[in-house]
Amino acid sequence: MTAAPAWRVAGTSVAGPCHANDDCQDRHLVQVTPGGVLIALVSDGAGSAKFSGDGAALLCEHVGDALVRLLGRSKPKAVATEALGEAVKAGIEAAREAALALGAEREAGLEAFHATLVGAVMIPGKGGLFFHIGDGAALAVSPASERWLLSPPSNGEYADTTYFFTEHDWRENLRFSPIEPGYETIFVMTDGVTDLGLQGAQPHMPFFDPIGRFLAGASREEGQLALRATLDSEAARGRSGDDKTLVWAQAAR
Amino acid sequence: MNLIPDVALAENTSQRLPCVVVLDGSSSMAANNAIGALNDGLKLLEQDLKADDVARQRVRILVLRVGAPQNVEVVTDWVDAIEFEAPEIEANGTTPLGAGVRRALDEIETEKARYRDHGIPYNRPWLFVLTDGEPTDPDWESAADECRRAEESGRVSVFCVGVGEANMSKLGRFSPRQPLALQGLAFREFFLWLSRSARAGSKSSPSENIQMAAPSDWAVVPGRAG
Repeated sequence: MTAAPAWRVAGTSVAGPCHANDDCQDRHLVQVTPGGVLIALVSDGAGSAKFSGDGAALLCEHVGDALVRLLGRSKPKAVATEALGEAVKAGIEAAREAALALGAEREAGLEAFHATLVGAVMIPGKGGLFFHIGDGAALAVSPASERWLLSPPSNGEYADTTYFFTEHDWRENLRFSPIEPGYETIFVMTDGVTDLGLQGAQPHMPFFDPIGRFLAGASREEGQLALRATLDSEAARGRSGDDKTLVWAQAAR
Repeated sequence: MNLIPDVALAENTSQRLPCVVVLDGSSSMAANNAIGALNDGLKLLEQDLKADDVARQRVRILVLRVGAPQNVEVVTDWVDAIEFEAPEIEANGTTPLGAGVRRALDEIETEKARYRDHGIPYNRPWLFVLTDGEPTDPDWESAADECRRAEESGRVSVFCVGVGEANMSKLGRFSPRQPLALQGLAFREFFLWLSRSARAGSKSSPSENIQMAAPSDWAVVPGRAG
């Protein structure tokens, strides 16, 4: 007999109107391990880098694999923050190696694969860990939205630059923040969505709450279609010309 | 396709792109009416920026003139592009470019501090330096070094443009980026390029790093014939 799924999930990436030919360089990955652990990852490939979509895809794939390997099939009793952090770093290393190898075939350096990383690992009822390089954001929300926890964007001084996993000092720009127990809903997003959903350094809950409510009441397929239409709406496109990715997950009650 | 109902988008202050233009208002700019062509170019900059709904609210402009009677004169103080009115530059005096650039760097840091105080995000500032001669102030070299260091440490992006007989090697001291030579009096093309670059730059998001268009229709790379 199969256990009831531990998480309900949905996610989508839409190309921004600034990007020619609807060529979206955002990627995402959302996965629940057999032990019920949620892995949610988004990556934004830099529009100026030639193979950044591939960079974003490699990063999601390798960080996801490293976490799945660590977590295995069992249901963890606690959040092993340090081990999770090491797995994320190992995944990034593997993604860098894979990008270097692919770059060698294409006569391109690592900088052709520039991409950001935002991710969350959550164990039902036990909290979890955010990890982050560059812009985009991750948000954890308690039931009934009384409390939230944000992993905010970090760009350095300028609004038009950010940090990437492909840079030599990526370890200095990799941030972790623990998520204590008590949060049941997670949103992970790229910077096209923070333009719509963050008010300065705070989440704009009138953006996130209706999306969470709708996705909780819809099938995954229906939810993703509506999410896609919402992120690609006239109003959203007018607010940000960038690619937009949003991943949502909610612990089953 | 149906949208998710009741989703309210956040209202955020949009990012600013500070742009400083240091213009040579020395007497030699009167030759061949270069100054007239420069002033026409400034008018085109005004029109073109104002025609862009986004850029006119995000691009911030400061225009400095070097010459006489003041070494450095603020001809247009910091202003949003939507309120920018092209100034009329006069040709009179020498070319204290060092002082002009030093003032520009100071103004940029003051402007950034204002953005930070008000929580306004901003792009890396741009500094354009335009001359038909060479710096005439005695300590221009230390100002040039300061400018080059500001570029190297990421405080500003510096673009130097030489007109006519400008001393390109001295101009090259101000930035690690190679100075460009204006073709003839192609000021209109130059300012249109500046405007188009600012229009794109003002919309660039962190992950995009919009590149400037090649300045092919107004510039020649110095050292080549032509």
